[in-house]
Order: sequence, then C-alpha cells, then structure tokens
Amino acid sequence: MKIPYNEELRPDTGLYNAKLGIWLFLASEVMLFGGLFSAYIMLRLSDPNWANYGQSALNVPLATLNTAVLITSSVTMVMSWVSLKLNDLKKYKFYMGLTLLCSFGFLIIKYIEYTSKFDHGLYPSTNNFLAVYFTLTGLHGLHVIGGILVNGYFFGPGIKMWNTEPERFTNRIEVAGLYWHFVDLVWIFLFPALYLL
Amino acid sequence: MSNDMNRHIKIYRNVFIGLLFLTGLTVGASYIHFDVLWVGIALGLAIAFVKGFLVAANFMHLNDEKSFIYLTLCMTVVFFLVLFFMPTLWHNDLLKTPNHIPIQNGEVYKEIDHHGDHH
Repeated sequence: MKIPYNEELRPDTGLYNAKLGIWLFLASEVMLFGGLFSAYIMLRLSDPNWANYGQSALNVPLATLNTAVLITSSVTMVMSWVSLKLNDLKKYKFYMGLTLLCSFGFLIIKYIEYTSKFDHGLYPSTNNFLAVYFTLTGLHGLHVIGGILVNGYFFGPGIKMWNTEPERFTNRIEVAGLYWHFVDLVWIFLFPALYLL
Repeated sequence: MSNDMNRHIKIYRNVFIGLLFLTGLTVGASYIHFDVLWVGIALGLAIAFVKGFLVAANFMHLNDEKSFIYLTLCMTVVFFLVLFFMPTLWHNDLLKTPNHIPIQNGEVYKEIDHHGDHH
C-alpha cells in the first residue's frame, strides 16, 4: 500500500508529510536546547564564582575552525539537494560525501578538544561551567552523530530509491537537510555563548 | 527550474561567505574590551542572531515557506520564551512565592519563611 503525501502535497497543510513531521520534531528540539540554554543562563547569573571556572581555557581557534567546518557542511548539504533538483546524481554524491567528511571533521576536532580537557583534569564534575559546557556540546555532538547516520544511509544503501522514486528521495534529502541546518543553527549560538561571552 | 536553481546556488554562495565573515566578526568582537560587560554579550548574541537568520531563511527556506510552518514556529517561539524566562522570573521572585503551600484538604502543608528557615 502506498503511503499518501510522500511526494504530493497535502491540501490542508500544503506540505508533504515528512516535511511537516521534521518541523514538528525541530520545534521539540528547540525546547530541548532552549531548556538547557535557560539553565546555563540561570547558573551563570546566580554563581558568583563563574569568572574563576576557566572559560578562558577553552580553545577558541579550534572552535572557530569547527564553526567554519559546520557552516561548510550546511552549504554542501543544501547543494546536494539542489543537485537532485537538477537531476545530477553524480554531483549529489559529491556534495553529500563532502557533508559527511565535514561532519567527521567536526567530531574529530571535538574529540581533540575533549581529550585536551580530560588531560588537564577538567571534567563535567569539576565546576558549573564545565558541567554546562560538556552537557551542551555533548548533546550537540550526539545530534551530529545522528545526522551522520542519516546522511550516511542516504549516501550509501538509501540512494537506491533515486532509481524508483526520485521525487520522494529528493524530499528525503530536503528533510535530512532541515535537520542538519538545525544542528548548524544550534552550534551558531553555542559557539559564542560557551567560548566567547 | 534550472534558472531558478542557479539563482538559489548564487544565494547559497553569498550566504556562505556572509556566515564565514560573521564568524570572524564574532571572534574579533570578543577581543574588544567593553566597559559594560553586557554590551559585549549583546553584540556577540546579535551577530549570532544574524547568522541564525541567514541559515534559517536561506538554507532552511523559511523566507518562502507555507503558513502552517510559520504557525508552528510562532507557537514554538512563545513556548521557548516562557521556558527561557521562567527560571529568571523565579530567581528574582517576580512570580511571588506564596507564604504557604495549601494542599491536602485545604490544610496548610508547609509554611515558607522567606528568610530561609522552613517550618
């Protein structure tokens, strides 16, 4: 049985189902990260010792590089969708491959940052700032891993759908892209909030 | 379709350059010493909001989306603001903590001493 509104638009919402679904999911994600951001502000405002927690020990150049890597991955992700819209599967593979490379690059840089902290005896239990830092960046990192799994599937076995249902596959990439841009969006706020301000 | 997509590609390229520039600006601004701490924080967050707007409007296509999505996002913003400011309201006691907590058949369950000692 064919699932309705995978390709054609629902008359009431003007959207295909997966797009509505991902936006509702992203709304819940806003609440998840919003709650943690709120906790961060609360802890920061109410803790008189915040300035002594070693925020300056964070590696700003590495985090800046990571920001550039994630922004690049967002562009390559949207370009992979454009490539499918232009019926160019070869370019899709190229851009999706680049997106995956950037995603792994982000995680590797994050790994270097984390191990550097651990080597200096800095753990989530050390102080309030590091608890917030590891919670927020850790949760964001989990989202990056989730994105890699989804994009990896569409780069590998999931690409077969292009031969049978090209429009549905293009919609899937658009939805995966919306998620990935959200992950980028969260980092855009995490970066100054944790490293710079 | 092809012309439309080529226009999109041009926009994505410009947004990409803009985002990298703003990232550099964020880092640069963090090294400026402001007399008032909040000015620096406000500037950093303002740049982050501009970057967020560029990603949401262009990469996530929110500059040309269906009204159903906008409605969903408006509700999200309202709930987000409530979530965001509720702890601050509580912290500053703007929600006015009651003097007692009346539960269990209307009896006073707990008196609250605002000076710190609970009875």
